[in-house]
Amino acid sequence: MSDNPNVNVTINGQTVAVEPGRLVIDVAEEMGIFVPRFCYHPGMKSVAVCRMCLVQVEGSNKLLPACATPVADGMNVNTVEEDAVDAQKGMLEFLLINHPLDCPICDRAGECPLQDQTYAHGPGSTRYGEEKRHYEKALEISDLVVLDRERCVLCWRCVRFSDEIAGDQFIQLVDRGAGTQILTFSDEPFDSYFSGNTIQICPVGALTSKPYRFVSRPWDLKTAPSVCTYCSVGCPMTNEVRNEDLVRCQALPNENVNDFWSCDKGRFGYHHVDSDERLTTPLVREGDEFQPASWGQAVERISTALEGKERIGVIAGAHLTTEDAFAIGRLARKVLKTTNIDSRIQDAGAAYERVLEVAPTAGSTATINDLDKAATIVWLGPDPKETLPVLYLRLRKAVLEHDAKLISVSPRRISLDNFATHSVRTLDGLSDGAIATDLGEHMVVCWGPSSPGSDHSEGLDAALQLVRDHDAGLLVCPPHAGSQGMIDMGVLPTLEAGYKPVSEPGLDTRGILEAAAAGELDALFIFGADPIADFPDQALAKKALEGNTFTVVAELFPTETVSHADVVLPSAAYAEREGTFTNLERRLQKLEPVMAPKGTAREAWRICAGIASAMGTEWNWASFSDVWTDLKKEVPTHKDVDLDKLAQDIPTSTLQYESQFESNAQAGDAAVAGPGGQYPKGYRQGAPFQTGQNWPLSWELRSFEARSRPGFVPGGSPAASAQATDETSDADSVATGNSDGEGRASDISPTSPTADTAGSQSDQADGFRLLTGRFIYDEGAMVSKSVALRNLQKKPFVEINDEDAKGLNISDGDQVVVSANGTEASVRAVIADIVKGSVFVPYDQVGVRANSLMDGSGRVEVRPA
Amino acid sequence: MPEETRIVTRRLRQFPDDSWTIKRVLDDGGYEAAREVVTSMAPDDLIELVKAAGLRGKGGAGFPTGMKWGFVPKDVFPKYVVINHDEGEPGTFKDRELAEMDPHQVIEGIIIAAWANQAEKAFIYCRGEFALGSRRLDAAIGEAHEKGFLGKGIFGSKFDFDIVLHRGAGAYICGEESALLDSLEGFRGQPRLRPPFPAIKGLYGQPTVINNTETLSSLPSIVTNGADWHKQYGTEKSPGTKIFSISGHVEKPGNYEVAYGTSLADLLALAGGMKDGRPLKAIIPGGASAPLLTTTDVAMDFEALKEAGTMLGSGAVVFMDDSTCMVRNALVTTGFFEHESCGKCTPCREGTWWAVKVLERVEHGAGRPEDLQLLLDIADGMDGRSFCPLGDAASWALRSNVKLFREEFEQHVADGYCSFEGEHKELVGARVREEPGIER
Amino acid sequence: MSVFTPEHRQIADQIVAKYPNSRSATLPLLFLAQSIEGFVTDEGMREVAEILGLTPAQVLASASFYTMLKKKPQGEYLISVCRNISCTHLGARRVIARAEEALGISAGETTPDGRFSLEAAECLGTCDGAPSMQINYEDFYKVAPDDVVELIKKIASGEAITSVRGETVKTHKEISRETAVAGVSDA
Ligand SMILES: Cc1cc2nc3c(=O)[nH]c(=O)nc-3n(C[C@H](O)[C@H](O)[C@H](O)COP(=O)(O)O)c2cc1C
Ligand code: SF4
Ligand code: FES
Repeated sequence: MSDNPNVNVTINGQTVAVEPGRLVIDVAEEMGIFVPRFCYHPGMKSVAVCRMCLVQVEGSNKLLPACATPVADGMNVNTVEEDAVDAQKGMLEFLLINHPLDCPICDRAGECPLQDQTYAHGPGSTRYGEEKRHYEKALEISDLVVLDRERCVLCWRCVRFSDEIAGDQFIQLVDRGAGTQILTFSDEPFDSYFSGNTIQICPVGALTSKPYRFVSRPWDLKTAPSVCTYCSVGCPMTNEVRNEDLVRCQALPNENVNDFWSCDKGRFGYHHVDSDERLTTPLVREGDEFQPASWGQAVERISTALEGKERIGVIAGAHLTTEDAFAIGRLARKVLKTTNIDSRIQDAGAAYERVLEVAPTAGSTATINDLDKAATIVWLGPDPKETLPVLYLRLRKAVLEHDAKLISVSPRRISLDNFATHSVRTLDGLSDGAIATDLGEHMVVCWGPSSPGSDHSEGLDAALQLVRDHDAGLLVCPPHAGSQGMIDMGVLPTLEAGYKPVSEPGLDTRGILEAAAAGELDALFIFGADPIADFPDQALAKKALEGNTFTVVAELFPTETVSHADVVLPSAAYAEREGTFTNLERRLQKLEPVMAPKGTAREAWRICAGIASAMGTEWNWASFSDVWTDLKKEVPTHKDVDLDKLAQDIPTSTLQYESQFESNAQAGDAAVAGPGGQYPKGYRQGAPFQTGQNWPLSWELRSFEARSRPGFVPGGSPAASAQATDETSDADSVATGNSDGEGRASDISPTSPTADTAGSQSDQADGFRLLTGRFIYDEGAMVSKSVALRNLQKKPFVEINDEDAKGLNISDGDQVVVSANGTEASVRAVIADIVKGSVFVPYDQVGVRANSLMDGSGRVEVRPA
Repeated sequence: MPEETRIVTRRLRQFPDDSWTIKRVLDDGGYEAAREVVTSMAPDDLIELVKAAGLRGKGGAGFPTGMKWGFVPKDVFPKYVVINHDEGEPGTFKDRELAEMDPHQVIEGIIIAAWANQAEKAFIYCRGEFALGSRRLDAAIGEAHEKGFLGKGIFGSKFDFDIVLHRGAGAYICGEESALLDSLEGFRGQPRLRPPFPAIKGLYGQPTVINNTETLSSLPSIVTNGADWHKQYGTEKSPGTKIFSISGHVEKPGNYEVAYGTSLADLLALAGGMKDGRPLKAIIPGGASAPLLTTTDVAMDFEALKEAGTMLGSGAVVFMDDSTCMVRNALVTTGFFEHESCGKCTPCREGTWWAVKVLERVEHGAGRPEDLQLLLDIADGMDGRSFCPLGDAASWALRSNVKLFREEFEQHVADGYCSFEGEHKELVGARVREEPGIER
Repeated sequence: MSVFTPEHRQIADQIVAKYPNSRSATLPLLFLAQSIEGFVTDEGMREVAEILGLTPAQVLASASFYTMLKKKPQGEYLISVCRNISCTHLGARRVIARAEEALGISAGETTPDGRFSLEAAECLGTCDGAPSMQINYEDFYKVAPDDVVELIKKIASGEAITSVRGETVKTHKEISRETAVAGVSDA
């Protein structure tokens, strides 16, 4: 767009110069003129069905929908003169004749565009005397979503989201005319990892959240912006509190990260914060009892225990913030004087530092938005729909909307294979031959550790090779919200903060645990991690913790690991604290506290400072910004971070929205969550819509003001996408005519991608190679304590290749026994598209913890039960 | 006594017993026009010919056919031709007769259109309720195949071309071209947002020409006789002939082909005049969508009818005599639009639903004085604000009934009964619709 | 137990083969399902969805839009009396009323014995024969109230009836099948 000259448009008398092709409704919005709307949503294609946004355009004999009318030079628009206002009033009257007007019992009341717009200029009384349309109220269409068809204004947002964005077409328009309704099929649930987004974008109370139903009124909520703690995508979210209980989280928009969306784990996984099981006070061990203690006593106990001790290990979990990571690294290296420090647990063995071979940073060189400009995307990682859900949405968008060619490389079928141009089934990361024909220019390679327990080197080798050969951009996808921060701050045996290689590396997680198990460790510090549950060798983790190494654990919950500690320190949850997460594209985004920590719980950085001071080093950290003062001094890559730029705006209240509507007052710059029609001013303009900074800045990337960055494709996007189109429109590709302009990019008739099973040599002799991976809902400490998600877990199962199954005469659905190092698990067999000689078991499902089957050999036996 | 000008309807009138068989058609010189263009005419010259002939679309919009073809990009393939045979406009039954009685003329027209646009496939969207028409088209396509007029290298040329017969499933809105495309792609038949227009991105996102059955049936004679021959009929702006479907209170209802510009009075005469010689009360000149007329003193072409505040539409003419209750007429018409509204946009969905409820009340004598204004307001609420012309059309019909026959509506409200049924008679079979909404 | 037999599956494949994009086969396949079960059942929609690689909800969205795809059990003979302009003005309402009387049901319903369904239809494109109607989509012109009763009697007594165009009236299942396979050579 930017290369087109701007055009002049006049709206209600004011003239502005804007990019051609932009929609009148957006341009007006940026000028502070709010055009009422229901169906329009900036994150989805216009459909212009509600007809609420009709405006006068000089020269047109009809009113035109502002949401589907692009600006043209000299266009003269009016949104407030009689005709337009008449139409708006008339449309409201039509929408209200069949609306139940049950606001007093509706969750949406108070943040409802229909309600607001009716107050603003709806009819005072109704002229409709007849019977209204009736449907059975409050259908529970899933465990999370409730549907009330009588309230629905048929804006199609939920249906469009499911078709266009998520590709989960489980909620559809049914019947026609006045009988048209939103509905799921018979008894099949609205079974989508992204269903919660439809609640957030529903402009009325037709779709409501089961966990939030009748819980609060918007005006009773205290809200703060934050970042989801679950995965490394880092969707910005609100935390919304009603008298000291966290009762709702909604996605905040960021066009660089999540557009407008979040997954249901991020949205509904908040109940753990208020769980009664939270640790609220420090505990110190007396014999085999824990005694509550003050922070003073607890820290005291630590410092005395450490006197004269040298053999120390530090393990940190990756749900902690960038500041925590800095503090932990500082504590380990400067105070405890040890290089035995690691933050990789499920991803143990992932050699992130090797990224330095091709890039100045041990992290992504491409941004998430670069996916949209890519001609080819190569995926070498776990199933993103399960582990990085919103990145999955972005990959899907890149393929379906921007015609990127996707090459999905995985030992088993994953969600991406539904729209991948090519699927490569292989264990050895990538046999270049398999996709040689498809390697185009402008490539983004995505790599993430996929199978806990393997060393992930095959995938990494392949990724680095591709980056070298095609000078591709690299998207490094570590698992957790805090992972990249840990890498940046040197919570690794091999790197110091700022990616400074360590001359002689200390022990990694496995090494530390082995040392502890062998009694060769004096003290073990564990911050926010549960190795017994998460480390891909449970036996080792148990042995390490059961030994008599002096162990300090800072945690949210009394995990099994905690039960073996000598000192337990309660940590603050993400909603209770200030901080930053560094996401997988190295974007720093800020968390604001919305509530006080439970009991005397604290942030990990405060805990570290406390321990340091007890051991005689004063850090003088009283606040988040104190930490940053030192961080900038000591971490060269971060010396220029501008904290002000990180501040996310607090979402504005609907009341302001309402008054804007009445008076067409200047719309605030705020990123506004939730209530239907609302979204941050100037979405397409960028700036207010982008929060956070990619850090550190590297080569041609990164400038936070610039809306569209050159990315790794120097200016070449048009050519690139053109080329992508014709390349991808070949037989087995997915970019067929389907992705036409009709909002139907999503219904690609399933093509069976050319599966290539390079390097899959079956050696059943000594059992099967064990592959595993996390699913979105698992036994993780936070998810499992979030009541809304508790029952959404899949039952454990084992995926096995057809031939292998025949060999063991196992058929689909059979109960089978998977065993390794003395542990057995009885699970259901699923015949699947997976390389021969390997089986797949979900990592952490209720009933079976895959890490109990792991002894480092990475092999298991399978037999019929 | 006025005369028909039978061109498109010639064969089926001349040979009513076998006009649909390949034998009769070949004896009658059928397919020569198609053979000629495919074997010896450049596509662009053909488009020019149709432009020069001034042929206008006969499905309702009256858009110049040659010009429409001109919009189709030359360099994008595949291209498609789609035949709009979903004839559903109340009062219209011309396409049905053309397909049932002269399917080969339709096919010949399709081949000509396909050659002009270099389309590799055509899809006939045949209204679901047209069982006989579908049978005849199906058989005719088979016969054309055997003769080598369809399939690989038609007429011995290098041009491969095929026709797919597709059945609708009961939805008037699928006559609207973009809704038709969605329906043909297997979706709910709801109009698409434009642009892009079908000529650029139509069926499966490919360039697509959509034409009405009668339009296509007009092509062979134009190819055979040339542009000037075609222009000698009709008016300057509306050249050629049109089939008018005449029904209602007339002696001889049926399809009558006359030159554009023929007076409505002559049409009435052709149809044998008013039934039992009763006085004329109102006329629908162009299908249910068209505002009413009360005089026959108007020429039947696009411009003249526009002048007269109504439209030619699909060429469905319904004559109503003095026994007609206009409240009922309004109800039946609006009820039709309510039943056929696709439900996509607010004004059409809610407006028709509301208007029907009010009209039912009025007809049953339970109307209130303010209902008349309410009906006009509802009409205004839909007019020009709907997503597609269906909602607009509903408002035109409603408004013209209320405006032209206001006193009749007031009568119903004042009396508390419909005087056409007789005093306080309960209306027989007056309940016109089942309530929408499904079980769950 | 599945709705589509292997034979139906084969026809389904032929129908799908008509189109560049399989989804276009949605309506024909639903007619095919209707021809087996008499109306479009949940199971039918599930199988159509499975054949076309759609979700059942997507199939429901399309199925529920069209009046000829029946969501409730249908009679063997579907009587559709036009209620549109020309027919109403020429007496369609009395025809409907008589049919309701004769069948003991109201428009939109099916007789308990499953023989007849009655509906008030929108314009059938037979205004020249007003008041007109269709029985399983074959045409009957200038229908007087008594004529309907006659026809119903005939059908009830198992007599074959022919339309004004001389076509023999098929059963609802048969005509659904014919509609499904329209344009499929040798099916
Ligand atoms: C509500 C609505 C219903 C329509 N129904 C029909 C129809 O039944 N048959 C038809 O040929 N055109 C119908 N049309 C017009 C078509 O959209 C389109 O203009 C026409 O098929 C183009 O073909 P033509 O240019 O040969 O007339 C309808 C339009 C609207 C808005
Ligand atoms: S994608 Fe990741 S960051 Fe975003 S909401 Fe889901 S879990 Fe949270
Ligand atoms: S029509 Fe524009 S917002 Fe709905």
